[in-house]
Amino acid sequence: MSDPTDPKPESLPRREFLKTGTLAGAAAIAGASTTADAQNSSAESRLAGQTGSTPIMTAETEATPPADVQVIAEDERGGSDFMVDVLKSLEFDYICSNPGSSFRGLHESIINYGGNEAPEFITCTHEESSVAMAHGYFKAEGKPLAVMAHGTVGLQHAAMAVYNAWCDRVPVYIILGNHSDAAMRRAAEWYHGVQDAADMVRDYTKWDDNPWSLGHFAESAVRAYKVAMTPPMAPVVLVLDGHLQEDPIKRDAAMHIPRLTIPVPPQGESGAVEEAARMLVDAEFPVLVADRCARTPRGMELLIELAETLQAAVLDRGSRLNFPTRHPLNQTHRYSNGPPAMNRPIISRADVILGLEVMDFWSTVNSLRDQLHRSYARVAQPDAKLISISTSDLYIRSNYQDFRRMQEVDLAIAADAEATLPSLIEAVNRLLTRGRRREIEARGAQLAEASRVADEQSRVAASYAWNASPISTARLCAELYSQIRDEDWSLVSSYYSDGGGWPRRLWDFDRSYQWLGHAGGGGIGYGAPASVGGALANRRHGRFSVAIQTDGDLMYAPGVLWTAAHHGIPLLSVMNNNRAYHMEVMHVQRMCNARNRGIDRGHVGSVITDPDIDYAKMVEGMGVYTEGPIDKPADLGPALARAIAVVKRGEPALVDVVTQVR
Amino acid sequence: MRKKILTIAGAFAMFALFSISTRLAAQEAGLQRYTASGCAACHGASGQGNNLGPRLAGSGQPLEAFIDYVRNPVWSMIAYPEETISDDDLDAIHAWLASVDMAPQRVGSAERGAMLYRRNGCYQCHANEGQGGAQGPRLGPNPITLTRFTWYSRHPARGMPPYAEAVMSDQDFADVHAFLAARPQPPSLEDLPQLRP
Ligand code: HEC
Ligand code: HEC
Repeated sequence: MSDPTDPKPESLPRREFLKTGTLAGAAAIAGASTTADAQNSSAESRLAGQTGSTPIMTAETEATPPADVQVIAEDERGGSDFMVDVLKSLEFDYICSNPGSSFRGLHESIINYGGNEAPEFITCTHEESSVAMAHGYFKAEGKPLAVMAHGTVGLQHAAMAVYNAWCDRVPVYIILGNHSDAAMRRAAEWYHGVQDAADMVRDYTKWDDNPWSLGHFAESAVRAYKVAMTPPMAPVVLVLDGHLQEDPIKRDAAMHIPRLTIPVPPQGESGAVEEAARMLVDAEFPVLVADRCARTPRGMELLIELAETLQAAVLDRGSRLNFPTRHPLNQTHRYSNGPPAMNRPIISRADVILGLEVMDFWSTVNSLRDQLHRSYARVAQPDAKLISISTSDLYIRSNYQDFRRMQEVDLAIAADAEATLPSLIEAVNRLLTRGRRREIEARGAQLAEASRVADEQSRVAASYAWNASPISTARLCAELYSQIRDEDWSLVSSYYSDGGGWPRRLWDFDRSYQWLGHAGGGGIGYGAPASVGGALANRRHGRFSVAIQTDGDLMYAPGVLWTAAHHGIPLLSVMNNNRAYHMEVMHVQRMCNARNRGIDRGHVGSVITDPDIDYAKMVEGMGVYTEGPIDKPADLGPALARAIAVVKRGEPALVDVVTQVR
Repeated sequence: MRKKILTIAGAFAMFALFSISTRLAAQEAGLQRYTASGCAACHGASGQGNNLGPRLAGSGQPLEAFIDYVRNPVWSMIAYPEETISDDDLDAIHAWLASVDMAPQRVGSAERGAMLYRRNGCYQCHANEGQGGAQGPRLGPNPITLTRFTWYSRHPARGMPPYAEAVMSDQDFADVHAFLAARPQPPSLEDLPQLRP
């Protein structure tokens, strides 16, 4: 492979085949290539590259059957075996897929040549599930999963989940099967053939390629991994031609797999970091807002160090677990009058606000009033100084608007926040005099007291409607936590209603895998598969995975719970079953109110009743242990206990709880 | 004897007259303070309320809660600290507001309120029992005054969808208010091991 004029190894068998002259019409082509000089042969190899590894056909050759039934020769292997070598070099643990013929070559290589280990084939019942599993898996494990799908129908199914992962800046390694060459396509391959498969998701993936040879594949596969894993991370796509997978290559062909070196993410420029440190040290009431800051467990440690050094308030916007929920400086759950006014008491007091990978800085410091005539107001003080450290300044795309409203800031550091924290902490330490340290201690004590009071208020708030039926979301979360709190638990998903927001108000989260953030793009149907993906990662570590599973979300692609049963993935799914797409009920109610009509009809079209869905029965049919439906609070504790015992045996279980709406 | 009785009666009358006149004086001072402090702009010249603020007259709000709201308002109203208006002045304003002759407040039916609370969508954001959550604050038990409750629902300060007269009457709000007032008090935290910190 080092000599570019060498014929591509994968084209060798074909050339030999052509030279034997089995096919009548092959002679002319063979003749042309055997008489070629060095230049011509390199031209031919380029041509071979351009046409994938498909022989140059004429109508005659196409119509002539081969003399023999073909099986691979002793000294050959499928091109996709080499692809597996490359995937193994990238150390994928699993490859999630709904099987499809456009990647049957690679499928076979994975299970036979690769021994179905690292990567192991995980059977999914929907491509959206494959991608969302990879999404959840990455956030628990910090490692991407590979996904295989048809380049057309498979990717179309997967697209929403790809968009979620994109918005959440999570790498997913997507491999698509395709049949580029229109000559000799089987019937279905016409539906599964596309000129530019990745085009459909190019606006919300970071990079894609369509390798024309195995050498090209090796490079692109390693490059894709590298690109996906460099912050800002995002999904990538490789389109694999069917022939490239299926055509044989010589076993001893010298094939090179490039070495993977993940780039070190960029740190903030030292002068700017120094300036940020000075602003924070001089501030009367600095506030640290973190969103996707903690990429790794180290990120949380660093944020704790910075906050404690500054005795500053921290607000965790929750795309990752950035800060322990019960840390005395955590002010996330201080509300002025109920959750809708969230964070106001803190943001409105701040004179310096540092945003660490905050995806929506604008709504952190402003609030939009969603009425007939929309308006907004700044929540932060008009002269509060704003600093951002974010990789979102390094990379932006146009079509989809996930970049949010532009927020004017005083200092923008285009860098990875986690990577920048060590130098920021160092600069803060350098600038903090003894006297200043003493002054800010009182601030810390005040914040600690405020967060203690807020915790207490959260518990009191959770006690209202305690004995109501349907069960309050607060009680659901309290009952659940009281039974898992001594386990090494991980809340793998709590989407869309976030259990009414209760887990992070009531539970003690202090390890990064305990909270895996949100869907990213607000695409419903993320919760169930991301939970199974998170649980798959947690299984290796012996963690207890639990999901608060909403009903609307589960109905998109419930088959992923079969995947959990099939692959023995222990996961407790506790349903927050409010029998509605409740967010939409509220939106339509808004419209009814604003238009002064039909305020009693806001639910029409958005409830999932009549008939009520029996989730326990539905999921039981997929081999999952179930309890429910439970709508009496007194029945909940015992049902959870039974389901927990099942999960501890290594199986999935689902408890259907009929809950209040929020 | 008669004279004595007369004298006593006279003293009583004098005392009553005196206390009425001091109360009247206080009320007058209250009205004066109310107007001078700009309360009238948002709450109406007679405390009857308008588009900018709820009715305060005859709201039945206890003095302590009244003062507390003026010092720590929750939504659109601006706070008045001690330096701007003293507790005594607020006491006077409160007394005057209680004396204003105004239609009595409606009496609500908790049963009808339960139906309306559900039917008109309050449960969607404030949860089935009015306990509140991620989409709206707690409304009951111990709801805010009916006057403010009704006014707020017609003129929400932030994200809540407004309920105009055309779709929800004052009586409807009185009923919903009665439903919320009748919600059970929560058990004590000590009795809920599931909520131990
Ligand atoms: C700029 C308009 C405005 C001014 C001026 C104003 N208020 Fe208010 N007030 C409101 C609004 C609006 C509310 C309803 C709640 C909210 O939005 O804060 C309210 C609520 C109240 C409440 C709570 C009533 C209840 O039933 O709970 C009290 C008490 C009150 N105001 C007293 C006063 C007094 C006394 C003054 C003058 C010293 C005053 N307000 C001046 C707008 C105003
Ligand atoms: C779509 C969500 C939604 C619906 C429906 C809704 N509310 Fe609200 N409500 C809110 C929110 C959010 C707030 C907090 C303030 C704000 O954003 O306006 C609120 C605040 C209130 C307040 C002020 C509470 C206080 O302590 O000052 C009252 C009173 C209230 N709502 C009553 C009602 C009633 C009565 C109904 C039904 C007729 C109702 N709400 C329906 C969302 C809603």
